[in-house]
Amino acid sequence: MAEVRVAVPPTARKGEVIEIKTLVSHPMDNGFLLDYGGRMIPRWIINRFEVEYNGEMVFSADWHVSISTNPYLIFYTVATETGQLDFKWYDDNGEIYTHTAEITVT
Amino acid sequence: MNRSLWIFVAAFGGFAAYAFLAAGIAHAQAPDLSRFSVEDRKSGYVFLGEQVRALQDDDFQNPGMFAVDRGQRIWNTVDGEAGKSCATCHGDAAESMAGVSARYPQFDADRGAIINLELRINEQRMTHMMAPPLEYESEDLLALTTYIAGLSRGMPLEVNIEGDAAPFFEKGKDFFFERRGQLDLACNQCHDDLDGMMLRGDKMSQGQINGFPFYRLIWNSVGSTHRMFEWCNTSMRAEPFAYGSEEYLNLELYVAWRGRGLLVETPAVRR
Amino acid sequence: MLAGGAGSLALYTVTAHPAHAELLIPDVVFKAMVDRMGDRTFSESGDNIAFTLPTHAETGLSVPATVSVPNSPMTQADHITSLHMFTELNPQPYVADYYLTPRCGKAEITTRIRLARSQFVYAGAIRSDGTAWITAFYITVNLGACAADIFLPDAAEAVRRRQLEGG
Repeated sequence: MAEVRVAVPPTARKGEVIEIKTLVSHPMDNGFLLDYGGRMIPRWIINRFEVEYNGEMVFSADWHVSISTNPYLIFYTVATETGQLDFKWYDDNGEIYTHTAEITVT
Repeated sequence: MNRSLWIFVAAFGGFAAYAFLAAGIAHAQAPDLSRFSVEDRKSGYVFLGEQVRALQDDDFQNPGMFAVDRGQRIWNTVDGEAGKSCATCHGDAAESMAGVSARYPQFDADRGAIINLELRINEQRMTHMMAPPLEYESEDLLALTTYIAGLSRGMPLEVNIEGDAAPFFEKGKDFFFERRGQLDLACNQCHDDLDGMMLRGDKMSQGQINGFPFYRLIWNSVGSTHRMFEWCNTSMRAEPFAYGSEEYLNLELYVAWRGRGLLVETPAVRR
Repeated sequence: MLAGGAGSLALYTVTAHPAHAELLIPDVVFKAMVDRMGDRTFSESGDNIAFTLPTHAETGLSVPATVSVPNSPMTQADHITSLHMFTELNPQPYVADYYLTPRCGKAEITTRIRLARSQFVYAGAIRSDGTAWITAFYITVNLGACAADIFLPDAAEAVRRRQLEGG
């Protein structure tokens, strides 16, 4: 089970561009590795990331096998209104990891 | 033909950018590494480049902090027949555990041998919590060890090698200088004599353990000192010893003494 | 404009920027670009894309990379809709695709990527009017001491993992 870490500024001025940092603990097995016995370690990566700001999709990503273990991402969004940001990560095994952050916009 | 031209242009552009950056960094902030070395003893941090240092410096990015978070949860989780958690007896770890890992490994009278932090945790679990021991190198034991060691961050390593510990220390020292494996190498041949030199693309470190348990990028995980010993032994094509074995415990004591005064960096990040 | 493949290497060129050399793209990367960015005209980005990587990666396991279009106003009328990264010599050319909206405010992403060896890394951006920009960066990558290739097995790790799984 992956753990997630998200940094969203708790407060922002309306219209301000805020930086959002995310980190997920995930092996991101790339599916090219064989073990001693020649057996393939199956691919297991987070392949999709989505961010909704009060229900509206503001940013999303498709990830492939060249993203590092524990995927790290910095992106930006405009602080439009007080509310919540919903983060979702989807992995190859159908698991969905979620996180919600509150932001107060003044 | 066209392609090689482009490669040349790109490489030149890269070089120009590098020269510009290097000049900028030299003026702006030459990294101060003084707190990562004591006399001629240098933390592995000194041998890293700035890309990996950045991972360790930023607690948000440092993947070892996931182990710290998990360790903190385990600290407060009741387990075993006695119905206790670590916190039941030790309270707030931030107070009770500060500086503890800097004094490990140490001589333990009950064992009549050296004990390290991992084995101490398990011993306490069995005697006081009546809980089964955690498997060596399991995620839970690593997390708990990382959490506890992390509470000594910034404190100098200071192990006791006097008295009852002395004979074990000598054995550990012998291990360090003993050649082994198909490559017929002893620890000191690289880590004492060649530190700072290049070994393929890596800079040879002194093999200090002040950042352990650490996050190792090629492992994609946190690892203990004994896993690193095992990995090193395997790399020199020697038969490794078991996790928690007397050989590795003695070696751990010697290596901890060898890095005396270095500040604990747990969870460190290394290549 | 796209030019056809050059001999057996099957390289593609994209429209040269006045200030830059002609950008030649290997077949595998070009196909990935068409796959992820659509079948459209690609232009050499010039100064439009800022693609920031170290010139030398001390480990290929975790290389910080930033792609941005610093001059994009990110308005409804003129914004960046996606940012892409590709590699030439990893087992797969795809790295990541980021889909942006005007609500991002700033067309910039930073992430950490894997690089199997020294190679060209490519970044692409699509503007809301359909313009597609491409740029490339040559990065050298350290191979570690004793360690396995990052896209090949570290056998000790594999064995350990199997032991943990009880296999």
